[in-house]
Order: sequence, then C-alpha cells, then structure tokens
Amino acid sequence: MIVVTGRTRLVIILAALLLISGCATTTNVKQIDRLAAVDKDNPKVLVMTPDVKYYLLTAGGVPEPHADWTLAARANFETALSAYAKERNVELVMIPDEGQLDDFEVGYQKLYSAVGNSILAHHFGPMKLPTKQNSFDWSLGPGTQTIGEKYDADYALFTYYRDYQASGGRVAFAVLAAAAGVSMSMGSEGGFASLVDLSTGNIVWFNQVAAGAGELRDPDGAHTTVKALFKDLPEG
Amino acid sequence: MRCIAIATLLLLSLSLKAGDADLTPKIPPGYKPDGANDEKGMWLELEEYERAIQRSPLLVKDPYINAYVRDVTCRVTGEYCADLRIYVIRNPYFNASMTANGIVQVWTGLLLRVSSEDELAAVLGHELAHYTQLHTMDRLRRTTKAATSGSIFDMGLLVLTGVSVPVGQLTALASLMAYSRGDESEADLLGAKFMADAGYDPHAAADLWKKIVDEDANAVAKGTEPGLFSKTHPSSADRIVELNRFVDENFPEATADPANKQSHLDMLNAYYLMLMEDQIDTNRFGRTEVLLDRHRQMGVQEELVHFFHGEMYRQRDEAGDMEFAIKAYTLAAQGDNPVPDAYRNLGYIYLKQDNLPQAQYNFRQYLELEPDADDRAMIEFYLNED
Repeated sequence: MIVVTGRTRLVIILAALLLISGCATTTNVKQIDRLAAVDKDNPKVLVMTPDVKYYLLTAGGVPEPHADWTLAARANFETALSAYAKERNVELVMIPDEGQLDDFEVGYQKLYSAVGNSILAHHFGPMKLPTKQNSFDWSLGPGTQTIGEKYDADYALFTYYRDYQASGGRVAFAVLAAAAGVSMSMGSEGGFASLVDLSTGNIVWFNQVAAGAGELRDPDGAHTTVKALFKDLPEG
Repeated sequence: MRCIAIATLLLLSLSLKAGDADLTPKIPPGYKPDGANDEKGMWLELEEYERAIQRSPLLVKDPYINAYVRDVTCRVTGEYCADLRIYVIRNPYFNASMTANGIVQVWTGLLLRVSSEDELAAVLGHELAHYTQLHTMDRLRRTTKAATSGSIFDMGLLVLTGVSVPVGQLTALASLMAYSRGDESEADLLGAKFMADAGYDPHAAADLWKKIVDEDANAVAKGTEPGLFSKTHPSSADRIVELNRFVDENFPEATADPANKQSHLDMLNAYYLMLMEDQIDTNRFGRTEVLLDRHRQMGVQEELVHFFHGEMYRQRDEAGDMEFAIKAYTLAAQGDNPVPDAYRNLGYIYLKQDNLPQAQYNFRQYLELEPDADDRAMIEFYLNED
C-alpha cells in the first residue's frame, strides 16, 4: 500500500520546486552576521536530523528510493558538516537519533517543515504574499527556548536534500525526447537549509541550493555540497 | 505404502486445489531484503513511515485492545508474527493494511464489524498473504515497468507524429488496476489457508464479506466509497463466491470454536463506548443502524446498544427522532447496567424542551452514577436553575 502522508506531499511539492528552479544556484537570506551565545563563550548549534534522500529516476519517470546511496550520503554529509563547522568556528551538538526526540521536539520538526515549505513557495518561489512585502520575518515562535535549554544550544540547523539520479534508460529517453523537441527531466538534486535562533524561534538564515550542488555519495563531493548548502552561514 | 500416502497428502495440502494460484509463501519467516536496491530503498522509507505511525495521536495505546489484536494476529500468522509490528489505529471505517516490511495497521472500525476472532483472523490472514507474496514490491515494480513501457510507446508516437501525449503511460497504468485485483484474490485464498492452518474457521472470511455487503446495501448515501477501491479490489460478491468455493473444496470440515465469539464480545463490551462513539461521529445513520442491530444479536450489553440508538437519533434529529432518542436513552439508563451518559443526554433533551423538572431529575441521576464527571460544574449549574 502506498500512502501519501503530509510529509510525502511536502516532498513531492519540494521536488517539483527543485525541478523547476534553475541551474547550480544558491539563493539565501541572512539576518545576522555572527552567532551569539547565551551564558557561555562559544555559541552552539543543534543539528536536527538531516532529511537527506537519494532516488533512482527510472526510465518511465518513477523515482525509486535507494537505500545504499541514501545511507552513504547521510554519513558523508555528517562528516563534511563537522569539518565545515570547524572551519566556520561553529560548535555543533548532534541529536543522536531521530527516534529519541520527544513529542514536543517532533512537533517543532513538523512545524519547521511547514514553515520551510512556505518560505520556499512564498519567499523564493513565485507565489508571493502581498502582505509580506518580501520582508523575511518567518519564525517558529519562542517555544523553541525549551529545546535550546534541553540541549544547551543557541541555534538549530535544519537540512533538507534530495537527489534524483537518472537511470541509463531515463537518459536515453531524455536524449530521444530532446531530439524530438520535448524536454524531459534527467534527474536533479537540490535542497535547503536554515538556522533557527532558539531564543526567539526566528529563522535567521535560510539558503536554497539547486541543480549541480555536488555529490553526497562520495566524501569529496559531500564537502562541495555542504559548502554550497551552508553558503554564508553566520560564523561563530 | 503409508509413507507414500502421507507424502501425497502433504503434497496435496501444499499445492491445494489445481486451478488456484500457487499458494506457497514466497518468503520465509525472518525475511530481510536480500540486496535488491528498490526493496532496500522501500524498507528504508517505511522505517520513517513507521516512526510517524508510532507518534500518531490516533494510535490506540490501550493494553487490552492491543493484546487482543496481537494474540489473534500471532495465532493466524504463526512464525511470521515475529516479523510484524501491529498498530491499532482509531478510525471508524473498515480497513486494515500491511506494508512490505511488516507494519500491520488495524482500524478500530474493523473491530466493530467483525463478530468473532475468526473474522478478525480472516482480515489479518489476508494481510499476511500480501506480505508473504511480496505484493507491495510487485506493485512498485509493475508500476515502474508500466511507466517505462508506456514511455516507449509514447516515444514512438512522439517520433512518428511529433505530438507528445502520454497515451501509452495512461494505458499501462490502467492495466495495473487489474493486476491489483489478482493480488487481492490471491490474498483472499492464501489468507483462508493461513486461517485453517491456525485452527480458525476459514468460512469466516466469506461471512465477513457478506456483512460488508449487507452494510453497504443499508447505507443511506450509496456509492460514496472512493472509486479506486472497486477498481483495485474484486467485487464483494465475487470474493464471497470464490472464497466459498475454495474453502468448501479444501477445508470442508472446518468449524468455528464458540470461544472465539465470546472473546471478541468481551473486548467489544469493554470498549464499546470508545469504539462506537467514533462510528456515531461519521453521521452515517444507515450503516450505524445495521451495526447496532448486529451488535444486539451478537449479545453486546443491551444498555450500551440502546445508548447508541439514542445517540444516533439525537444526532439525526429528523421529525420524531427526539422521541425515539428519549425512549432509547431511557432503556439505556434503566437496565441492570445503566449507562450514566444516557441520563445526562436525557437531561439535555428535556432542557431543550423547557422541561426543567425532568431535566434536573436526569442530571441528578447522572451525577449520582458519575460523581467525578468532568462536566460536573456545568451540570450543577443547571441543577441550581429554577
């Protein structure tokens, strides 16, 4: 049985947005230049479980989840992120396992999904909200303080990334279709990341990256992707 | 000679009746994906899906209901039980589902519609068959293949005509619906076999489908089921015929143990208020009436059944319904096992009819039976009115 849950629907919308966006670009909003710490010397960033997935785009266009690629990508991503954080003088706190989040934290993860999706659609996307006047004042609300206190962290970092790798058959189709003048997706990759100030819940940095972002399946490629995904991340 | 006879019997029992699909489980207990990328990918995605189920506010956590459903599941699934995770979901409609990695979901609406462990086992056996025959993976693979062959057709059309219309894809996807009906039939028959192997009465499967047909026939708003269900599932009438034929040929001797009715009845009596409340909220009065009549015949505590008759009439509120509701609530309140909420609801009906003395009488009875009621303050407010 295939169930389209809220999350799956979000994934589909995001995938569509990623597919229509242009080539090898990052777009970001940055509200602060430096990270600020409360009651300690170095600011700490809580890394929420990254939502990273790899798919094989089959000839007919049906994406097939690929476990080996996804697991490799997640591991490489984590290593590359740790290295990059060190470069930027940012201290990370890792959440050990998504299964250990309590209901309150899961609630915030879901709220973040809704807000992040809205930012993509209404700030970066074509569906502008007239009353927003393009200001960037998105927030999860000050309830995030509880999470900050629990993990002794000042900020939370959320990541979403998808990669659709075209199969050989898909590439052949796309080439044939192009010859006949019809454009067909040959796979795509992209994602977005954001930084939430846990004392206010405000989203203080948001970066979107589309096509040509790199290759998380190998360690070197992961470093490139992480750099693109966290471009202009405020320094500690 | 005897050995040969036994071997022949064994073989016969394995292959069942010639003409039916091969009803041998395709995977053994303890199965894990063996390296196929699409399958491993599916299992990884399903892990995430399962975490979402575990956090669902609709997950029923009550230990008694969970133990009951787990016991029936484990009995009918045997050695496969260890590979399954069973979740009871609070939803008043008739459904159960199985994923490729063994997540079983049983909706509470199913518990209201079966009348014995055997009938519950019929659904769970059917779901186990989907699992052992790898139906989810098959469907995913067929979808991928159909999309590809459809694309090949479309590509040919595009090259020949210069027009890009997904005719091929649409045709290919439509044929998947028919495949899906085949899966359902196979699951029906193998499910019946699992039931018989576990000592349940496989006749219960067709009995359950008769109940569903009966309920549908009495639905006030007909044809409201989503259209896809009828395209992916065989019609209930066909299922009954096929199941009866299969069971009569292979397990003619099987009979139901009366204890299996009692255990289900005990569970219903203990949780009737919670289970039936959700059904009432669907506002499907025709179906509710069928269920209430059936529950009375099964022997559900009669005060409970009266109470929900009252609820149904009060909710429907057509001409004369309030009088019916008063009668039903009164029966629910005056039996050997009075339902406290019946007094409260009588109180509210009389209040609406400006009959304050009758309202206050019933409210007092309510508080006497339920001194710690959540709405005590509200009820006392009405008791102090004059």
